[in-house]
Amino acid sequence: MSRLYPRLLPSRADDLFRALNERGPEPPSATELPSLEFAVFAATGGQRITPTELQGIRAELVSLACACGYPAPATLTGRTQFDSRVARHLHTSLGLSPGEASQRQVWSYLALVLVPDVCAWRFPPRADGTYVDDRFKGTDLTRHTLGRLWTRAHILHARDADDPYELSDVLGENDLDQILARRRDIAASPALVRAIVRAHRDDTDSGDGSLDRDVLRDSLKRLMRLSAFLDLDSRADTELDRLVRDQRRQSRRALRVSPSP
Amino acid sequence: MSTRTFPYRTPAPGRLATEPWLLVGDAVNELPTFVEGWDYTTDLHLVRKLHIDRAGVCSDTGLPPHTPLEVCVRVRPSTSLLRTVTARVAVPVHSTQPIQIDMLVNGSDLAGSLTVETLLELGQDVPGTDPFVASHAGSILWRDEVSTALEGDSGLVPMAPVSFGEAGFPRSAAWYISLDTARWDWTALGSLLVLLNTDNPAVASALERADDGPASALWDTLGADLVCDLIGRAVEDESFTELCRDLAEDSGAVDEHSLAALVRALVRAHLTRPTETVDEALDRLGDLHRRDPSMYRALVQEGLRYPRSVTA
Repeated sequence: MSRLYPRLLPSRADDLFRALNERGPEPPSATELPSLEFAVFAATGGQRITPTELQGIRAELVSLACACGYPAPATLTGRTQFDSRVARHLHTSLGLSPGEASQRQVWSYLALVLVPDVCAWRFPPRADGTYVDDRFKGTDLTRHTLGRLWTRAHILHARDADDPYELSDVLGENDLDQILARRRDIAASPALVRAIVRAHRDDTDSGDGSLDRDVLRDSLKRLMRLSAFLDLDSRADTELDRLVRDQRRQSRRALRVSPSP
Repeated sequence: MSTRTFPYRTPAPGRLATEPWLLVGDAVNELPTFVEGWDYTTDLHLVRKLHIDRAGVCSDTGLPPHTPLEVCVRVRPSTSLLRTVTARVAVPVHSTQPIQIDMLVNGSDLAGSLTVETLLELGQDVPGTDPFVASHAGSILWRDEVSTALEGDSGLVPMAPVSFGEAGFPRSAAWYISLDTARWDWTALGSLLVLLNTDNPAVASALERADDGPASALWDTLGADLVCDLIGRAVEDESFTELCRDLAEDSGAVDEHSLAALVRALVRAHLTRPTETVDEALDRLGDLHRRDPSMYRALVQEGLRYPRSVTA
């Protein structure tokens, strides 16, 4: 049964985000139960998470962040490790059904009430001192500090693999963004996303970083064109793998003939 | 209006005759536009029949008569947009019996509204076809889709009973209308929520006796309040106006389940004069909202025939 999480109302999210920009993150103290003010739960359909459990979740996330360098300024290695470990943790430990995890306001609560400090560490303020709102407010789950990690883990979860999350660490943030930002076509098909990541991992012609990135992006365009009239969701993994690898080969061939300027 | 053009021949209209989706529960009824009482523990049992003129499909599309064809059904919730294939049925070569689809959609995957897409497609690669004839496995020859709203206590307005005292709201208030207008093209079900205060005796009573006189008057007042708020916010928001301009150029620019579509539907149904378009009505209402907010509210009351429970 799904655990139900508090959904932070949009007006409260706006207020807390404004406060974040004005005063920095103000997380609950170690002895304070997370506030449920201006947050609502789904009426039925699961067991509500309790404030004590939320406190436990906060402790776990802070611990994971500390293992990656928090509170010292995040390094590239630290950020990468954080994303990998927290993605697995969120997907395995929060008890979120996919339906509940698709609620923007749940992620808004987690970032703005429960662990604003951890999210601010992962995505520090810009040069002008302000934070990027979609990293905190759940306006775009492909960019939310925590929501994107859960989504990534869910889509890339390979049930039959020895390590079901092995695909989560194949691509870097930018490359994965390229795929998952295409929510209505490519990213809507978890099987296709997994095939794309497998093909990238297993491409024996790879090694040139810049060309590899171009190959990925070009092959995504080819796959988007195909998905307009091919149902890729009902294809077996072996067929998808074959299709995706074929598109990569075509992209690589085309880019070698006319490489990017 | 945008149209998808396939790079191959598709069947003529009439080659597929579809029966509506049926929702199987205690009774079997046509899938409604809103599924009452749904939550994550509710799986949806859906059935449907399709009558396919297989020979006609193959003839129209240029495919050999024994080409493997399949009917596939995929579903996606409006919130995550993640698609799941929930049925895959081969179309027999020689049978004229209708194709029966019988499937269970996992409730825990769902939220917001559910879109159910039915596809007729090639079951396997078909090598050696002529130009403009489908050849790849999965090539979509025909599709349709339906949507149904899941969350909320009504198809239009999601509502949640909440103790305002516990949630930090004004203790004696009747309701709070939560409206997320960050994106007007987001689905209404994810952006609009009415919180009903269970600490307010009138609201608590109305929740228990939804159809009696005082309750009806309360819901009428809520309805008027909601419509005033929703349309008022829309006409003051430049991003809504821009979206409406995009809609004028491309009627597919706004999803029918979006917040913007809801605003336009309300204006069309209640506030548009006989000789004006919805966009003209929105311009007029926006101007009035800025100049004379009280008159704007009075107009909305008139359009809704508030209070309906008395004037009906």
